[in-house]
Amino acid sequence: MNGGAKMWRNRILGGVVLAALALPVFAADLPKSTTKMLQEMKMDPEILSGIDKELNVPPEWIEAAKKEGVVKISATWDPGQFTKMVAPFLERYPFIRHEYSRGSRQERTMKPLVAFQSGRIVVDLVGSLGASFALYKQAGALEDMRDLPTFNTVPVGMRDEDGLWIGQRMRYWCMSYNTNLVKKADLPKTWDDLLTNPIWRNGHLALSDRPNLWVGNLWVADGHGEEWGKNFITHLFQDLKPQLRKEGNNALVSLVIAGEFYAAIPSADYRTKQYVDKGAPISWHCPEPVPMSISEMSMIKGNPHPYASKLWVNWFLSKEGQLAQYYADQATPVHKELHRKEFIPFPDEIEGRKIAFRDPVVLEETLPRVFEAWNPLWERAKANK
Amino acid sequence: MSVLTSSGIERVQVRLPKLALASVWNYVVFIVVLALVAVPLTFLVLGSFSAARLPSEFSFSTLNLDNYIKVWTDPGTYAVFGNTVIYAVGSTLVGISIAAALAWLVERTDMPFKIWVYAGVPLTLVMPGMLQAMAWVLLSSPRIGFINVALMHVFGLSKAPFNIYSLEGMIFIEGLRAVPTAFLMLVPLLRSMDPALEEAAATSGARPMSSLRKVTLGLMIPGLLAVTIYQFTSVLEGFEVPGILGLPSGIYVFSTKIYTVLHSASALPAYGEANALGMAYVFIAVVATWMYSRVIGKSERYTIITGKGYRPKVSKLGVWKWPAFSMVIVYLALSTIIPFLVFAYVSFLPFLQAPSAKAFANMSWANYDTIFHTEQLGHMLWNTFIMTVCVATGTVIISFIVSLVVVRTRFWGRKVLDQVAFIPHAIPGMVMGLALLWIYLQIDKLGVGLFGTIWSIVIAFIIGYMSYGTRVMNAALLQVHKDLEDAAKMSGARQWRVMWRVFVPLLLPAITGVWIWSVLHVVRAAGKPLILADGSENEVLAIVIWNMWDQGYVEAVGAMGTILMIVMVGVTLGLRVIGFGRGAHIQGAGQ
Repeated sequence: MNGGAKMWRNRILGGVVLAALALPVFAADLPKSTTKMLQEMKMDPEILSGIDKELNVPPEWIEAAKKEGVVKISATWDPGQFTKMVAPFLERYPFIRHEYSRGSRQERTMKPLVAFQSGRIVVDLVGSLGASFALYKQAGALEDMRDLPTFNTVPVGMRDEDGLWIGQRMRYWCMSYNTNLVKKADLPKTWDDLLTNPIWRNGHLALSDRPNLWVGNLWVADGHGEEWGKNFITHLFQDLKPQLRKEGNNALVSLVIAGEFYAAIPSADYRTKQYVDKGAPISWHCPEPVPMSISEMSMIKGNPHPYASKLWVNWFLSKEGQLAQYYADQATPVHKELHRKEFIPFPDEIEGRKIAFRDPVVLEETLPRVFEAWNPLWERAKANK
Repeated sequence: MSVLTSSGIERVQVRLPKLALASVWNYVVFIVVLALVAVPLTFLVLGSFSAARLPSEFSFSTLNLDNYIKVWTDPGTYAVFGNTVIYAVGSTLVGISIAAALAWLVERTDMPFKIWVYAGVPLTLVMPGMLQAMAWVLLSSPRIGFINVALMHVFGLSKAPFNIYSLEGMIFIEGLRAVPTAFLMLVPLLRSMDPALEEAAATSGARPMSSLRKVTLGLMIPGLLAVTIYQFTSVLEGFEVPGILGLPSGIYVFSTKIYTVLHSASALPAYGEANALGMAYVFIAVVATWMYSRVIGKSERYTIITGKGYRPKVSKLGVWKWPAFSMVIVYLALSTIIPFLVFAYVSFLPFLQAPSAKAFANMSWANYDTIFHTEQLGHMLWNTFIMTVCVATGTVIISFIVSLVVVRTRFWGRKVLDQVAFIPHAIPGMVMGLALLWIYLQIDKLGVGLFGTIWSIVIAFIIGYMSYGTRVMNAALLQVHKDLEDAAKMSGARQWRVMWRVFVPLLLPAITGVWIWSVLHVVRAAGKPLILADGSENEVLAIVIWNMWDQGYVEAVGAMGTILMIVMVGVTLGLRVIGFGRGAHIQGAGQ
C-alpha cells in the first residue's frame, strides 16, 4: 500500500472509530430512562439528534427554576402514564418536583379559570383546554410561550400564533368498536354511510357531548360545510337514536369493550390502542374525512412557578418529551420531525385518507354555530329517552 | 384584692373568680359554634340572591330574585323535587325495615350467632356508598351487568331483568347503606324495653306476632319514628349513590342537580343558581329536622325504661331460626360481601369483562402495580390521612366541649347551643360545601389562603359531623354521675385534670365510637370534597375514585376499592378492640 492510500485508510479508520465513539458518547449523555425508552421502542438514539440545542435554555431560567422547585400540571394523562412520561425530565431537572392532577374535564378546564378570575392560581400548566380556550383568552389568563426554544418545533396551525397555546399531541377522533359485535364489512366508509346502516340504530351507537372534537372538523372540511353539518347531525339523532352518554370519552372506550354498545363516537386512537395492546375485543375505525385535532397545552398567566413551567413545556415539546409521551400513552407527537407512520396507533385508518384538520382559528369562529345546532338536538333526544 | 408594694403604692390584684372564667369559656364555645353554623347559612342565603358571576365578586348591590325565578320556572326543578322526596322516603323505608328486622332478631329472639351479627352489621359501614353503587353497576347494568348477562343467557331473556340506573336502583342501594346506622340506633331501643307489657299480652293469650304488632311495635313507635326521621335526613343529603346511578341516566335529585350546575365543562358554574337550589334542598331537610325534634321532645310520654331491674324477653323462633339467620346473611352479602368480591375480581382484570375462564386466565397484579407506582398516590393518601385524622379528632373534641357545656353547666344558652350544634344535620353536605365555598373565597380576599387547602375540607366535615357527635356525647355524659366529678374537685383536682382523669376514661367507648364513625363517614364522602377540591393540593381518595370511575378506569377503581375496604375493616376492628376494651376495663375497675 502506498503512502497516499495509507493516509486515506487511516482517515477512514479514524472516522469510523470516531463515529463509533460518538454514538455511545451521545447515548451516554441521555438520561438512563431515555435510553431505556429508546431500547424498548427499538429506536436508534440518532432520532434524538439536536436534543441539546432544543433544551438549551438561558441559564437564568434554570437558576430561577431551582428556587421555584415545583411545577403544577393539570392534564389528561393517567397518573401512571404521567409518571412514566416524565422520568427523563426528572433526571435532567431533579430539582423540580411535579404536582399532577388528572381531573374531570370540568376540573381541568373550568376550575383554574374560576380560580384565576377570583384572583387565585391553582395550577401552572393546563392541558386540553378545548372549547374553553376562548374563555381563558377572554379572561387574559394565559401566558405567551413564544420564547421557548422548542416553540417552533410545532408546525404552524398546531400552535397559537400569539403563543397562548401549543399543541401537545395530535389526535384523531373517530369511532372505537367492539370486534365481537361488529364486522369489518359494517364499518362506514364515509360519515354519510354511518347514517344508512341499520346496525348503528337504536342505542347500538354511543355519543358523548363533545361535537367540538369531530363535528366541528367535518363542518369545515372540504366538500362538507355548515349545511351538510346540520343535516348530518339532525339525522344522526333522529334516525340512529344513539345512546347519549355523560361519561368521558375514555370511559366510553371501556364500555365498548364491555359490550354496552357496539361503538362510541368520538374515540381517540391512542386510548383505543392501549386496550388493543391488552388483548381487549376493540378496534378503531375512521370514516372519511378523518377528524384530526391538536390537544392544547397552556401556561396560566402570573403563575408562581414560571421558570419551572417554561423548562417543563420546553422539554415536553422537544423530541425527547414527545417520544416520552408516545412511549407512555401512544399519543402521536406534534414535533415536526416526528410525523412518522410508526407514531400513529392505527396507520391503516389514516394513511391515504382525507383529513379534516381542525384549524384553531377557523374552529373558534365555527364552534359557536356547531353548538347552536347540536345542543337543542342533544337536549331533545335526552328528553325523549 | 389590694397589695402594698415596696414603694408604698397600692396595687390592686384582680383575680377573676372561677365562676366568671367558666362563664367566659361558655360564651366562647357558644359564639364559636354559632359562627360555624350561622355564617355558612348566611352566605347560602345571600348567595342565592346574588347575581355576581363568581362568589369572589359578591356584593350587596347585585342582589335580586333572578336565581329563584330561573330555578322555579324550570319544570326540571319540580321533577328534581319529586325525585328527591321519592328517593329519600323509599330509601328510608327500605333501610329502616331491614334495620328494625335485624335489631329485633338480635335483641329479641334466639337467632343463632347473634353476637357475630351484632358485630357484623355495623361493620358494613366500611363499604363506601360510592363503591357499593359502582359494584352494583357492574352487576346489574342493563346491558353488561354480570347478573343480567348470566340470567339472559340462562333463561333466554331478550331484555335484562334488572336496571340499576333507575330510581328503584338508587332506593335499593341507599336503603342498604342506611341499615347499619339505623341498626345501631334501634338496638338500644329494643334492649332497654321493659318486657312486662309483652309478658302481660302473652299471659292474656296473645300470639307472638300479635304481641309484636300490638305491643312491641306500639311501644317502639316514637323511637322508631325518631330514628326514621333521622335516617330520612341522612339519606336526603346523599350524593354518592345518586351520583353514580342517577347522573348517567339523567335522574336528578337535589344533590346531583347542584353538582351538575357547578360542574359544567363548557360554561362558568352558576353559583347563584346552585345556592337557590340549595335553599329548596335545605327547606326539606329543615322540616324533617323540626319533626325529629318534636318527636324527641314528646318521647317521655312513651317511657319504657323503668327503674325496675329486668331481662329483655327473648322470643323463640323455632323453625324460623335458620331462615332468619339466612336473611341476615343475604343482607350482608348484598351490602358488603358481593360488592367486595366484584371489586376484587375487577381489580385483577386488564379490561372489563364478565367472569369467564378466559377472564380468570388473564388476571394479573398490573392494576395494583400501576397504583403503587403512581407518583401522586403518596400525596393523595397523605391528604386523605390528614383529613381523616383531623376530622375525627376535631369532631370528638368539639362535640365533647359542646356537650360539656350543654350537659354539665347552667349556662343560659345551653339549650340554644344544643340546637345550633344539631342544625348542620339539617344541611345537606353538598349545600354546606357550597356555603363554605362562598365564605372561603371571601376570606381569600383578606389574604387568608384557606380555599384549596385540605383544611377547607376538614372544617366542612367537622361542622357537619358535630351534630352526630354531640348527640352521642350528650347521652354519654348524662351517664357519668356528678358525684364522680365533685369528688375529684373536692380532692383538689383542677378542671382539666378532672376532664382528663375522670371524664375521658369513662367516656372512652363514646369517644372511640364517635371517632370511628367519623373516620368511616369521612373517607367515603365525595360530595363536600368535590365542591371544595381545587387541584392536587387538597385532592383526597374519594375524589380520585370518583374521577377514575368517570374516566372509565374501572379496573384501577377495583384495585383502589379493594385496598380501601381491607384497610377500613382492619382499622375499624382494631379501634373497636382498643377503645371498647379499654373503656370496659376502666369501667370494670371503677365498680
